[in-house]
Amino acid sequence: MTAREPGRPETDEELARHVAELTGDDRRHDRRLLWWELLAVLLVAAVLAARALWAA
Amino acid sequence: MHTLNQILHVVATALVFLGAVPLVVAIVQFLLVGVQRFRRLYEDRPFHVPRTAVLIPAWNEAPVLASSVEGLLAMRYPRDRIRVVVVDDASTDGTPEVMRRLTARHPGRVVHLRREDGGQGKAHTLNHGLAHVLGDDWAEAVLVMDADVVFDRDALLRMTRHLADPEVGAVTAYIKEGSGKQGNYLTRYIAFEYITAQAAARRAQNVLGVVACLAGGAQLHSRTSLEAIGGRIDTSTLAEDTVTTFETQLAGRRVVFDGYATVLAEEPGDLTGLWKQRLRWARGNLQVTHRYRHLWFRPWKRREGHRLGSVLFGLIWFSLLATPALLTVCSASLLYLYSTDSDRSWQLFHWLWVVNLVCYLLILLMAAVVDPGTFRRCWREALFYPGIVSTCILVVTALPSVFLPLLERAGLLAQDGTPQPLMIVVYAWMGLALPLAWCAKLLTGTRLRFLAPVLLHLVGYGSLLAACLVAAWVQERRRAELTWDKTEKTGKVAAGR
Repeated sequence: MTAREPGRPETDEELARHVAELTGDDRRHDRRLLWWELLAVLLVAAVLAARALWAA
Repeated sequence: MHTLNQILHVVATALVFLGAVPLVVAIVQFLLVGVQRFRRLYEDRPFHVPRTAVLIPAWNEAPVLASSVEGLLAMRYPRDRIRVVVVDDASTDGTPEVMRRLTARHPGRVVHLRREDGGQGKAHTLNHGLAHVLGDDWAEAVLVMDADVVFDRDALLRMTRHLADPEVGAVTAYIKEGSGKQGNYLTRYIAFEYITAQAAARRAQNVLGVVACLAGGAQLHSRTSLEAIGGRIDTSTLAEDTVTTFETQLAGRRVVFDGYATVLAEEPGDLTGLWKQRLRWARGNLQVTHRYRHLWFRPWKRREGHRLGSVLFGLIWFSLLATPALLTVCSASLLYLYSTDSDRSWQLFHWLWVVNLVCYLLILLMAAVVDPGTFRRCWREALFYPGIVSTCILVVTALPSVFLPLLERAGLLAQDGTPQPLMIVVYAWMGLALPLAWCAKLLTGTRLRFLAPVLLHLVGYGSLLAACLVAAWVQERRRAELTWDKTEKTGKVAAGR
C-alpha cells in the first residue's frame, strides 16, 4: 500500500478501506463490551456475596 | 378494620418497591448494551458515501458557526459529496458576516439561507432549509445538526455506512458533553447522564429494534426516508426530533444509534439554562406521549413494521416520565408503614435501598466500561449522582451491622415505638428530594445563589430532572405557551479542541 500524498483527496478505494477498518474496530469494541459487562455483573455479584457472608 | 389494615399494608408494601423501578429499568437497559454485538449493526455492507447536505439551523450563532462549519468540511468525507446549508433564522448578531466569509472561502460547498421573518423556532427554520435541500436532486442524505456541535473526524463516515441498508431510514450519533476542562460540576453531571441516557440507553434501543429519539444535534436521514415522512419536520410540539424519530419508524424504516460516531456538544453550565432546556424536552416528551397514545404497550403493532408498541420500550419510556410519581408514592407508603409497623417499614426500606445499591453499582461500573474516557472526567459526579444524602443512605443500608449500632447509640433510631425525626426524613427522602431540587433551581435567581450547587449536590442531579418533569407536567396541564427557549452557546467546545 502506498502512502497518500498530502493534500490529495482520498480515492473511493482508500476511503472504502478506511470504512472497513473502522467497522472492524467497532465490531471488536462491541465484542469487548459484552465481556466487560459480564465482568461488571460478576464483580457486583461478588460484592453482594461478600456482604452476605460478612453479615452471616 | 383489621382486614382493611391488612389490605393497606399489602398495597403499601407493593408500592414501596415502585421506588426501585427507575433504577431497575435503567439496569435492564445497561444489560442489553453488550447484546448489541448480536444485532450485527456493524456487518460489512457495500461502501456507501451518499451526497450529503448538512443542514444547520442558526439563530445568533456567530461565536460557534465558523468552527463548526470548518470542522465539518475538514471531516474525512469526499469533498464533492458534502455541502453545508446554514439556515440563518433572522440572526441579529454577527452570523450573516460569519456566513459571508464562509461562503466566500468555500464557494459552492457552503450555502447561506437567510430568513428575514424568523423567530418561529428550530423546526420552522429546519423546514426552510429542507425545502431548499430537497428542492433539487443533489442530496441523497441530509444531516441535521446544531450549530455548536463538533463532529469527530470519522463520525459522518460511521453514520453513512448504515444507510447502505435501505431498511435504515435515519442514524443518530453519540452526543457527548464537550466542555472538557472548561466545564464545571453541572457539565460533568450532564456528561455522566449522557453516558447512561445516550451511550447505554440508545444501544439498548438498538437491541430492542426501536429508538426513542434521534439526537437533535446529529441526525442523518436518507432522502427516501425524509420524503416518506413528508419532507418536513413537525412544528406542533417541542419535541420535533422525537416526532421525526417516531414517524420514520412508523413509515417502516429503522432508526439506528451509532455509539462510535461521536459528536461534542456544548451543554448548559448553569442551573437556569439546564432547567430551561430540560423543561422544553420534558414538555415535548409529554406531548409525544399523548400524540402517540395509540401505540404504547401494543406489541402486536409489530405487524405494521415497527416496534414502538413493544412492552419493554413502553416501560423504558414511562419509567422515566413517571419517576416523580413513583418516588413520591414510594416515600408515602414507607411513611404509612412506619407509622403503623416500624419493623416492617425498616425491612422494606432496607431491601429497597439494597436493590437501589446493586443497580447503582452496576450502572457505575457499566458506565465506566461504555465510555471510559468521559467517565474518567466525571467519576466524582457519577459517585454522587443520586445526591450526597442518598449516597449516605446507600452506604448505611449496605452495611447495617456497622452503622445501625452507631445510630442507635446516638439515639437517632426509633425506640419504644416513638417516631424519630431522622427516620421520617430518611423514609420520605425519595419524595422530599424533588421539592428540594426545585428549591435549588429557585435559589439561582436570588442572592443565595451560591447555595444552589450545595443543595443540588445534597439532593442529586436525578432529583432535579424529576422536579423538572413535574414542572413540565404542570405547564402542560395549564396549557402554558409553547416557546422555543434556545440554549445559549459560547463556543467553548470548539475553542477547547
